[in-house]
Amino acid sequence: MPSRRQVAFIGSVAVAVVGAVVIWFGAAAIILAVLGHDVQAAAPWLALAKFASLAWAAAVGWMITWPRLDEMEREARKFSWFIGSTAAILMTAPIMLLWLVNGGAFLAQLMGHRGTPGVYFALGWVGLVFAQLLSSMVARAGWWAAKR
Amino acid sequence: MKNRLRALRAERGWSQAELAERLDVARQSVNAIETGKYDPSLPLAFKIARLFGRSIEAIFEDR
Repeated sequence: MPSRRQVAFIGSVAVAVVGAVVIWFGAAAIILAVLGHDVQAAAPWLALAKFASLAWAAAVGWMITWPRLDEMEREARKFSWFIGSTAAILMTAPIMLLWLVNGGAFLAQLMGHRGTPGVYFALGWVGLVFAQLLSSMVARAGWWAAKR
Repeated sequence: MKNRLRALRAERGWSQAELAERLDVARQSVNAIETGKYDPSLPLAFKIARLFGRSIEAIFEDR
């Protein structure tokens, strides 16, 4: 028989998953019902619904995970996120400066006709987040290696 | 920070995993505290002291 803690954990995961699905499909159903088949008008609202769904899952996931960590693991995560993401911001700065050489000609050539301002913005954001996650993982591995 | 955690644990015949369970922390945390690579927070230090029936100063030494 599962313990009370296990039941609470399973319940929380269910809340995260079911909530995300309800937000995503519920919002999509409402948006499509209101806007009909006007795909262009619905697109930003659907994107917002998708974001809300992911944000819900991430927030509940974090609320489930964080209290279950012991203090050393919390310390490891705080350290690695601070050091890792700071290092990533500093290390990706030269890349941004290289992109800007000749008015971003290299990037424009690389992206071709797909290089809209929106795509550039998304690329920058995703690139930085990816670098932060990667660098944070390296910092965390280093932290554990030092403490083991 | 030096400590007597390993000796106290050995006196009771507990494994690191058993002590970790009693303290509600990971086994790696117990190992890191025992080897002096991680200093526990004050609440955890009090918990350890209560578990072994000693004062914090009797377990941890500031050096």
